[in-house]
Amino acid sequence: MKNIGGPFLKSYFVPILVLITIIALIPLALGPIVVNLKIKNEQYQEKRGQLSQLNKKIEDLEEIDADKENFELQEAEKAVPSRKELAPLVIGVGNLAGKNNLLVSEMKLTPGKVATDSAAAAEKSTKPTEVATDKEKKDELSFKVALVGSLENLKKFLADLEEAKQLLGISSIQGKLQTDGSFRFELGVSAPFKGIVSGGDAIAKPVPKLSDSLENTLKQILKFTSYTNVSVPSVPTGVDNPFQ
Amino acid sequence: MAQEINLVPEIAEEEIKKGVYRRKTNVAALVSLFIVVAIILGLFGAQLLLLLLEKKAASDIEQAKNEIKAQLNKDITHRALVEKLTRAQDFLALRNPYSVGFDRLVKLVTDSGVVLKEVKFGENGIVALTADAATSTELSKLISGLEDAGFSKSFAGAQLTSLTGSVGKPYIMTLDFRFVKQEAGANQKKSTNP
Repeated sequence: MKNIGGPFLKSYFVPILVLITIIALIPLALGPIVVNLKIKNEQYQEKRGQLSQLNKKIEDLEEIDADKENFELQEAEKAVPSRKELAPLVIGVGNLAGKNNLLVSEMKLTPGKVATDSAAAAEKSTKPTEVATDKEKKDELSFKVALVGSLENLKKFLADLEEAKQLLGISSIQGKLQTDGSFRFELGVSAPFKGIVSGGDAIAKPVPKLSDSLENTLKQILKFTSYTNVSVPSVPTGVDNPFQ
Repeated sequence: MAQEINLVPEIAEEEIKKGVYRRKTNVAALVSLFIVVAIILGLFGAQLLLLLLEKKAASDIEQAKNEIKAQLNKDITHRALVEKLTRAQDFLALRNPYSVGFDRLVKLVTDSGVVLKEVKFGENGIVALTADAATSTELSKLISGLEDAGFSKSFAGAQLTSLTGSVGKPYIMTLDFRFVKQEAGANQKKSTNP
C-alpha cells in the first residue's frame, strides 16, 4: 500500500502550520482581545457619558445668577424653613391674630411633632403606630391655637394666614359662641419645613430644573407678607439657668 | 486556429500542476495568516486607542469636576431652592382655602339671620354647623341659601341632621356638609398661573 501521509504533510506543511496557528490564535489571542476591547469600549462610553453630564452641569451652573438665587433662597427659607423653629411661628401667629383683633387664649403643641429628630427616633421603639402616623407629616410642624373674637375677624385672620410668607395651613377649625357674644375658635395649624438633604455625590448630580410651576410658586411666595420675621434670642443649653 | 501541442509528458504536467497548487496554497495560507495577524494588531491598536481616549476622558472629567467644585456654592444654593420650592408647591396644592369657605359660611349665616352657635371644620372635610333660628323665615332663608351657587362652590352634600323647635323658643338645627376640596386645587392653579 502506498503511503500518502508523509508526502502530503511535506507538500502542505506551510498551509497546515498556518491553519493550526490561526486555530490557536482565535481562542488564545483574538477572543480575549475582543472581550477586553468590548469592556474598554463600555468603560470609555461610560466616561464619555459622565463627561457630557458634567459639561452640561457646568453650562447649567454658568447660567445661574448667584446673587438672584441667594435672594430667592432667603425668601424660600422664610416660606419653608430648614429647621423646626416653633418660636418665630408662634410669634407670627400671635402677630396675625393681633392684627385681626383676635385674642390668643391658648396654644397647644402636639407632642412628638415638634420634637427633635433624636427624640422622634427614641419614641419609635416604644410607640410604633403613632410614629407611623406622624411619619406621614414628618416635614410639617403642627400645633393648635385657640383664638377669641368675631366671625368677621376670623375670616380676615384666615385670609391673612393664607398669604403669610411662612406657609401655614389650617387642618381644622372649631368655633363656639360664648356667653359674652364672642366666639372661641380652636384652629389646627401646620407649617412645612424642609431641611437641606446632603449625601451622595453632589458633583455628579445634575442641576435640578427650576420649572415654570416652581417659578410661579416663588412669585407667589414673594408676594406674601412676613409675620414671622422676628429674631428670637438663643440661650445656652445644658445649664441650670439659661437666662443668666 | 492554432492547435496546442503538449510537448511534456503527462506525468511531468501533473507534477508541474502540483507544484503550482502547492505554491498557491502556501501563498493563500500565508495571506490568511497575515490577515489574521493584521486583525489582531488592528484590535490591539483599537484597544490602545481606547485606552488613550479613556485616559483623556478621565483627565477631562477631573478638570470638569474641579470646575464644578469651584461653583459648588451655586449648586448647593440652587438645589436647596428647588427643594424648598417643591415642598412649598406641594404644601400649597394640598392646603384647603378655608378663608373662602369660611367667608361663604359667614355670609350664609348673616344673610339668613340665624345665630351661629357652633361650627366645626374637621380634618376629614366634614363641616358641622349648629345654629338657632328665631323664626321659620330665617330657617327657610338658611335652607335656600344652602342651594345658592356661591355656597355650593365651597360646600356640597348639605344635610339637616337635626331640627328641634318648641313654642316660645328658637329652632335649633344641626347641619352637616362637605367642604369641597377641588376648589383648593382650582384656586392654587389660578394663583400659580396668573
